[in-house]
Amino acid sequence: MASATAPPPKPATRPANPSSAPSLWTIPAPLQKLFNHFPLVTLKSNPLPARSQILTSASDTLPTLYIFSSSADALQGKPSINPTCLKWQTLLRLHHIPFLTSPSSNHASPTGSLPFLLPPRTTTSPHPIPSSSFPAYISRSTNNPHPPPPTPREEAYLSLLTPLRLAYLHTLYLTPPYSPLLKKFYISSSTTSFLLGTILQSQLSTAASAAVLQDLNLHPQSGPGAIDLDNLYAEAAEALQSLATLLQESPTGWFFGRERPGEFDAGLYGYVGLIMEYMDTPEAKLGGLVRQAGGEGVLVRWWGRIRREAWGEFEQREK
Amino acid sequence: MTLQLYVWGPAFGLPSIDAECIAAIAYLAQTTSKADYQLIQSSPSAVPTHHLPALHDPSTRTWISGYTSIVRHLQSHPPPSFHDATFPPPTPTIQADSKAYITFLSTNATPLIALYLYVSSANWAASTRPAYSKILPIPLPWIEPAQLRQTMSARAEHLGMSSLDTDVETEKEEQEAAAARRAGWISIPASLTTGPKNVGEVMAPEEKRRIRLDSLASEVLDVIGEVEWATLTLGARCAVLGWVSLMVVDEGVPKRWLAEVTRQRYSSLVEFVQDFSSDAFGPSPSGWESLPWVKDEPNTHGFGLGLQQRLAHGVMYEIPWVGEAWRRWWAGRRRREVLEYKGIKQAPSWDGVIFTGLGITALTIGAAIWYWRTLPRFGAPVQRWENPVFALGGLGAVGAFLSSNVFDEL
Repeated sequence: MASATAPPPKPATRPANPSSAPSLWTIPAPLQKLFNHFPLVTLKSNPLPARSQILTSASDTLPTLYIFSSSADALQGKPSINPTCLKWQTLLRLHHIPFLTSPSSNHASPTGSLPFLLPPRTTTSPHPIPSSSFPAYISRSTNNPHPPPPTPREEAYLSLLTPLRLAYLHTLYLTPPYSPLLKKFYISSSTTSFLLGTILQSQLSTAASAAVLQDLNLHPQSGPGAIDLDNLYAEAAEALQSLATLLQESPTGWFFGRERPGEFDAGLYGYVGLIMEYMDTPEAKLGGLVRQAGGEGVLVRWWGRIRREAWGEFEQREK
Repeated sequence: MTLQLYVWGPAFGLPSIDAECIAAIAYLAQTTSKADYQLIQSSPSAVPTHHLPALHDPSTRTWISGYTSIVRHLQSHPPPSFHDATFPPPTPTIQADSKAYITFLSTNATPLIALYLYVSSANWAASTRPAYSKILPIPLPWIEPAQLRQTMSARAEHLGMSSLDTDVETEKEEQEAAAARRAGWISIPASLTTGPKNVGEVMAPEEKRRIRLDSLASEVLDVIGEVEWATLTLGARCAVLGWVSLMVVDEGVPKRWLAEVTRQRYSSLVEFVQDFSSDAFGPSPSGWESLPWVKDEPNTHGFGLGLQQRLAHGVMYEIPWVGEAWRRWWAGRRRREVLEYKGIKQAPSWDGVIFTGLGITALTIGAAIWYWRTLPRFGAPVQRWENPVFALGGLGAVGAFLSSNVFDEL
């Protein structure tokens, strides 16, 4: 806390001006003497709260990544709770680019979706960078050549994230045992009111069921009751199985034989990281599917490796 | 027991109007003998899964829909004559690749076909809508195609071309500009206005949109055009047959951008699809007609609905507010029926309670309204006429005398 300091030098008493007679506005001498004693102590100004580190000098040199998170987690730079945010956060960390994180919502983003990156305030043009420009930003800041565009085979395997995403959406948003987790992730950070929270939760669930139904070619308003669950999770299992097969082919242990984990690894980690962290319980099928994929825990070992690479410090802290 | 595959009817010279249905028909035709399955022309409102293609397997009491799930079901519960030469596939890599390419087709090529045949108003009005009118029995073309177009437009929304009127948009802009010119204070002759400055301004909006559509198409076709489909599983080959044969549809289609791009730049892909189509359905272009098509009988299983019922549900969906709730309830109810049919115990349904509650509420509200309407208007003067009651007091002096206390004391 601020410590007391010596009283500042007192202002000199105004020299009596002989030419002007005492008017209504001049302070009588005894009062002037009394008030000259104040202030007795001047306290140092308090520092800004730690959660507003994005306003402090740290953001003069570091870019800020806006993600879905809670303010306590964002302060420590912990992993985000949203697959897309986690993907880009992981990719930035894999390239050892230092950045601050700040909790935010879609409404704050210039593109309407998180994450986005705000460059250091000292740069000449602090325009927000949308997530689609992150690869270019990474290659600029690390002075690496721009990664080559994805090959057709990579594009095809990238589409395998869709069945995984549908199963993830169903587990988090439409399975009652997971509603406390949903509240913790998305609702408690926006509102503390029970009524607003309930409304928000039902809106989120409706949006999630519409997203799932749409990708299954059903009418978006058919409601969660129309989803064929066995099929949804069987698709996710096959997708994970195929990804595990692809990983087994690679000699380096990263997808497509890369020397270093790339965007594809980060994209899959966005889902697998969250699944292994929060949904690895017997009643959630997804954790089991990740463990079974490839038959030998291929994906689990890959998950451990990428976790060490990108989030090593957090893993050690937890132990 | 024969399998029953419910599919959309034929259109554009193809066995079905839907990519997944074509793929499912091709897969079944190549793996199973004609005695073991039936093809039934239907629509989503008739099947309990609300989605075509739908497979009914009476031996396992299963209803399942979607191409990949049908293939999975056939491989795990093969009918007697089932034979897929590529299953199980020689290496896990081929299986993984096939899975990846099938998923790519269904997630990325479906929106493209949605733009081409459904979102584009010119193509919808000139070819797709009439095709649906031909394959649906009579009251249904009034209801179902419009709902299907909604579903497909939602599918293509993320491509950014989803303002439903890819073809009306420019006309609207031009009309607005003309109106602004007319309404202006000073009309400037066109010769005096500054000429166009860059290439973008010289091009008509129509051409600009064409460039955007071409790039969307090549993003998808660049991937599937380079694949060695012949090395992949039969499931993947049937999938590419389904999706690509719809992409190259150009008979009677006014705006043929997708067909032109595909035929011009990816001719080897189109050739492969044509060859594979003749493998699957026979050399003649309408070889699929010889497949075991059966007329739909609503009562062959417990889930059939008559035309009137399908029409009634379609009309219910269109009612604002109620339609949404009705769609949710009906879709959920049908899914429960499917699961119960399979023998999976379901939690007791609250339908009876809900409908009784709704009925009582409606009755109460109706009675309240009726009662309200019988009340006089508020503030209106109320007059009552009553017959005078006969009493002794009414008899004048005699009455007063008679009713006085004199007699009481006697």
